[in-house]
Amino acid sequence: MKRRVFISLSTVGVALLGVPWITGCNQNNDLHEALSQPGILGHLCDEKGILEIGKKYIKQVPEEASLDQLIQLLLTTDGTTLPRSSERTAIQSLLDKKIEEDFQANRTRVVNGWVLSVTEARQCAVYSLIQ
Amino acid sequence: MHIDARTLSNESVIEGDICIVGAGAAGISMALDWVNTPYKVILLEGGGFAYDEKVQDLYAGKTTGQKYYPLKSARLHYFGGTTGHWAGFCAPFDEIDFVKRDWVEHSGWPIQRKDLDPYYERAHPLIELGPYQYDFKYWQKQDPSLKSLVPDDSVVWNKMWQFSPPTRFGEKYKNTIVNAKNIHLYTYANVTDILTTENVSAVTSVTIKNYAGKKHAVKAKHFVLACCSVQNARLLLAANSQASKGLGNDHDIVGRYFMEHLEVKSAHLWLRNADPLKLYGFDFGIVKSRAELAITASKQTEERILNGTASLMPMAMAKKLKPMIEMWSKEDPRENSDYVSKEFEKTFSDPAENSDNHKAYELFTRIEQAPNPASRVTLDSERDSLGVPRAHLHWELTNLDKRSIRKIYELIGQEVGKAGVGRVQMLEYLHDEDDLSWPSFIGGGWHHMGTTRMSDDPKKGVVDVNCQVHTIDNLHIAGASCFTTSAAPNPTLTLIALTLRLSDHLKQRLKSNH
Repeated sequence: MKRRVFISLSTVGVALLGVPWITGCNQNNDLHEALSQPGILGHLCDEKGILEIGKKYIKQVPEEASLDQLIQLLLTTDGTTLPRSSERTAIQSLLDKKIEEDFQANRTRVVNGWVLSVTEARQCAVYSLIQ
Repeated sequence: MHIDARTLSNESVIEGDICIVGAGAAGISMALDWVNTPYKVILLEGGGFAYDEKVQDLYAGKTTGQKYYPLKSARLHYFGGTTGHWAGFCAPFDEIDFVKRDWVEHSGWPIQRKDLDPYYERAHPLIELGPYQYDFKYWQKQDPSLKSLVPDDSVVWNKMWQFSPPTRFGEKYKNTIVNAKNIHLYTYANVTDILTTENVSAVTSVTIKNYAGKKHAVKAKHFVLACCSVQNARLLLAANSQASKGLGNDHDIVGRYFMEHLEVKSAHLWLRNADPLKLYGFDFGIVKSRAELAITASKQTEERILNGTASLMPMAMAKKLKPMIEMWSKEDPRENSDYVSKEFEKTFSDPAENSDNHKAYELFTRIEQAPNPASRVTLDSERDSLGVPRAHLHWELTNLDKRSIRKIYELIGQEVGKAGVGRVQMLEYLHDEDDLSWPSFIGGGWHHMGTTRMSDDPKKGVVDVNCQVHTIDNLHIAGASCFTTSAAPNPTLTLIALTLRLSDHLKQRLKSNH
């Protein structure tokens, strides 16, 4: 239930706020939405929680406060960057893999008390920036 | 044999081979070990066979520093001691708990875990535990439905616990003790002073008093203080007529390094799929063994943290329970016990929340306290009604304690994430790693340890490797006050094991004297 609420709110949020910073491009909306849905965390944490994590992450890592940079980091793995125009399923698959690899490599961070993979923390940051 | 010391003629002199002061878990365990031996054992208990308000009041004292339970209600002062209200949680200490850790100042026992293993095994039947088996795989073999939350045990492992019924020593062993011909149990026999030879190298007698206004002397070849950590320290410090700083206190160690287990709600575990997590469940009186999440020794070493565990409770129940430090606030232990029992009953009797499957669990910490000389028992200026200065406990924690708790949940969170089963969120007081303050709801487990710590070096400890007070040849200490470090598990199993080891040592000494 929480996830459903979160997804619908996030979609509305993107739709309402998308225009000023997206140069008329629906593709970006899809991209942002795909990037801002932190898989398992989205099941466990409500929208407010995701937003708080995102804001706290940016406070902790101010050098990643740019949406463009976060997108680049999220889409890049092993020196290869997935095109921004990729299918949503491809993006989600990449993010799932990155999250798994983060945990295996202990690339984790405690944000607002949550022990998260860096990737999912960045996803929350994306979500907070598109609000 | 039982004698009520109130009925003796005033100024009686009692004599025996061994005098054990205190009839709680340690004192009774030792006395049982001497039943049917050729030695006359004097077992002294300050109270009777049931709660007596006037006797209990002798345990009242002052506390400062970190908020603590009222001293009067933290222990029970009658035959059986605090086993009269213990919960029965048992697990042996880990190997790492005994070794010198360079990141834990004042750590390192002069004995190792292997030295206690045979005594742990002997302690098991005394507290009605199962086999001396604490390996997860052993218990999983008994019940293949037990599944580990984290498959990889290189960072987080399943530390198994066993549960005593719990054994109430007063009820369980009264007849054995009273019927033993060579065990002379004296009730209403409060030790108020310890007298020594002129050069303070041996104890000659202890003075006992009671409310009947009578005073007696007990003479023995060996004396064993088994009155719990606060009272052992208090007795040694108060016995200052021949040693001005108290007995065994030439180096100002007696009473220092008081340790508790920090017990506190710390995090939430959110699961992707509901799971009963049977391995970690506890049903009072039914479950014989369960696991808590612990950090491996190698990871503790790498992260330079203390040893601690996390127990799991379904969130629906845990959120209803008030912190113990709030619930156990009265001076009268019976009131506290009744109140806590009712609260637990309310929490666990709601069938709606007792379903098997849960998606959210509370993670509750039980962690050793870093040995801290400033955390200590001293004598207060006020005296009890038998004329002994009351205890003053100053409980003081360290930054390492706090940092360790946070790191434990970071590691558990990483492993839970690695396993892909869910996520861990720490409670707010752990969010900021630079925040070294403590929340108001942190408490202890009523586990008093460390005030007469064991060390080979008289400058660093009160008792030696055999629990003998340094420089006092026939004075020994039994109980958790001898612990050099406190480990994560509740102390009863270990203090009984250590007591049985002392018991063997004393038998050997008496035998060699003959």
